Amino acid sequence: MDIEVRNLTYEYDSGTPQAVRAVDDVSLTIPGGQFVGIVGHTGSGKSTLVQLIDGLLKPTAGSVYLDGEDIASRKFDRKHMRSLIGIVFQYPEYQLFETTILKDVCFGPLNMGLKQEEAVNAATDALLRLGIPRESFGASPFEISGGQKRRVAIAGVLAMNPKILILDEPTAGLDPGGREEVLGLLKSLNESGLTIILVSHSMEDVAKYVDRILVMNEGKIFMDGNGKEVFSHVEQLEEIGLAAPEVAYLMKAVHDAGIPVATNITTAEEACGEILRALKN
Amino acid sequence: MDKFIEIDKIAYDYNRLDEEGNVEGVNRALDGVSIDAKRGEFITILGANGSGKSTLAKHINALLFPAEGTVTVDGNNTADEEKLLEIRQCAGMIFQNPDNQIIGTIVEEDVAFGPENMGVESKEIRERVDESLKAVGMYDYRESSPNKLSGGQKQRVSIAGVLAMHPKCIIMDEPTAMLDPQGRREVIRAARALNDVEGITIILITHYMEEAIYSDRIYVMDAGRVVMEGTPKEIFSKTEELKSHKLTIPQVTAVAVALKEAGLNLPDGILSRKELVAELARLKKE
Ligand SMILES: Nc1ncnc2c1ncn2[C@@H]1O[C@H](COP(=O)(O)OP(=O)(O)OP(=O)(O)O)[C@@H](O)[C@H]1O
Ligand SMILES: Nc1ncnc2c1ncn2[C@@H]1O[C@H](COP(=O)(O)OP(=O)(O)OP(=O)(O)O)[C@@H](O)[C@H]1O
Ligand SMILES: [Mg+2]
Ligand SMILES: [Mg+2]
Repeated sequence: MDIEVRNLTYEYDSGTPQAVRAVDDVSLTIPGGQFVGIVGHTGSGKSTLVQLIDGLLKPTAGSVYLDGEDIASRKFDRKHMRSLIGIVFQYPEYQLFETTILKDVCFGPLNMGLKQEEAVNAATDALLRLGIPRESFGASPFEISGGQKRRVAIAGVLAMNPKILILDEPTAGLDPGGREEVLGLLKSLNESGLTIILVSHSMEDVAKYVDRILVMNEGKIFMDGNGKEVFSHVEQLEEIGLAAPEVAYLMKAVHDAGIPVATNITTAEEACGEILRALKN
Repeated sequence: MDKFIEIDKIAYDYNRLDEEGNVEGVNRALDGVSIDAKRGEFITILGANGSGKSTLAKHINALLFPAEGTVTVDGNNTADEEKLLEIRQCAGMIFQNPDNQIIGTIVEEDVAFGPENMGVESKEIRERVDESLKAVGMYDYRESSPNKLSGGQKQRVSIAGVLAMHPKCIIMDEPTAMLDPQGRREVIRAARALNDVEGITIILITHYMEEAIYSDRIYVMDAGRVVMEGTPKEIFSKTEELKSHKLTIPQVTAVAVALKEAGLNLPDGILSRKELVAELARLKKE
């Protein structure tokens, strides 16, 4: 399922003196099955853009098409769309509302028309994949730690078995083990055909996992390319509040110290191989 | 040396409620935790989700009280009700989401809010606001509206707001989790400067291993207990043990470890880019 965004603009408080143009004339296409990362400084418009794609916000101008169909058109089947696209919000507190963790994660599948038993199975499976143990299923989703809330919120969306999964900073507040697990899970979902849109502040994570990086700046798409392409523009990224992955700086320093390594390196594995190669010669 | 914060074998239980809201049991979130910090020390607390870090942090400024054991801050026991106000002013707290912490519509108003509430007289408030904003590098933005600021800038304004109450200690619970790389750097730099220049004791909780390398000491928590304690060099030399607690090592350290495993003669516990580059330059000469 392809996503197409055409001349999309969104203003908060549009038409008032406080109007903020959060997304500014953005056009792009995301073909089905792609793993896309969106990065950008705080306030650059990432969360607004993904909420427009999900149809949660109504564009001030422009349109979003799913497989060529305008999601704002009357004929468009919104209920069906809700089961196709899942979104995990930046602040999981806004997503959780039921009295127990299990009920919370069952809500989506039940709403889609699954029977109670099927919903419980889907929810159980999703929770276990996110590392929430069965003993905790009865706990209130409000009385758990920050990282546990985020895991429950992700499970809630996963349980609906969407075709397109949008995650707004899903790894913020997760411990390093959880971060690897969640990103690994996204990778395997992507390999089984899901389109994944991952908003992230971690340059290391997008460098390691995604096929394509969209860099946002002040509501616009500032760069669009794979990790190697995007992270070759370190200075431009720094000017807009971003950075290259830590290893890119390491390789530059190694190079400057007179060891002839390539500097277009974005992951730890590559860095290691490249340093060994350069030292052997 | 004098112990500024002394947490001695504390336990804490959250009540577990059933669907009608009756207590059906307890969750032991902290179990025999002992931690201390000297005056002016920079301490980092690492640990898996749910390991008890935030619960522990809330004990230091007397938002929570231990079921067992004692918490002493600057010589005052948090069990002593008469000292509560003093303890809360002495230990300020910063949380994850900057948007939830800023109330004022102008930066300097926001920073003045704390001292105003404490009843500080207005001339002194002015001075405190200015010095706090300068200390975090946000003085030039004193007349801006907070919602025009970046996340890192907002978070620094929250820190200034805490500073204006003249705390001796600041507890930061994942202050950089929602920030872009530059914002993250700004906040950590501000924390280090307050520690170095003003001698403020810092307790930093983070899931970013890179942010822990500057601290004097690190505590690692798992399932409500302290399981490791040491300098960054000591802690980050124990890759496997950290992994068993759902943690990892900084990216530069990971590269160094992989190089060592591939046969290079490198020491354990390399933390910074500079150290690794120096070691590699040495190897090249040999
Ligand atoms: N509900 C709102 N009302 C008014 N302005 C808003 C609202 N939400 C966001 N904005 C503004 O819109 C712009 C884009 O915000 P958005 O949340 O999309 O950015 P972001 O890239 O997701 O940032 P972050 O990295 O901090 O999550 C910012 O200037 C922000 O202040
Ligand atoms: N309000 C609450 N009621 C009941 N149990 C709670 C509550 N808050 C936290 N807990 C439980 O107490 C334990 C410790 O939680 P805490 O928030 O201190 O963890 P943490 O180390 O800060 O985790 P994170 O890295 O996810 O923020 C967890 O098992 C959690 O589920
Ligand atoms: Mg956002
Ligand atoms: Mg916490």
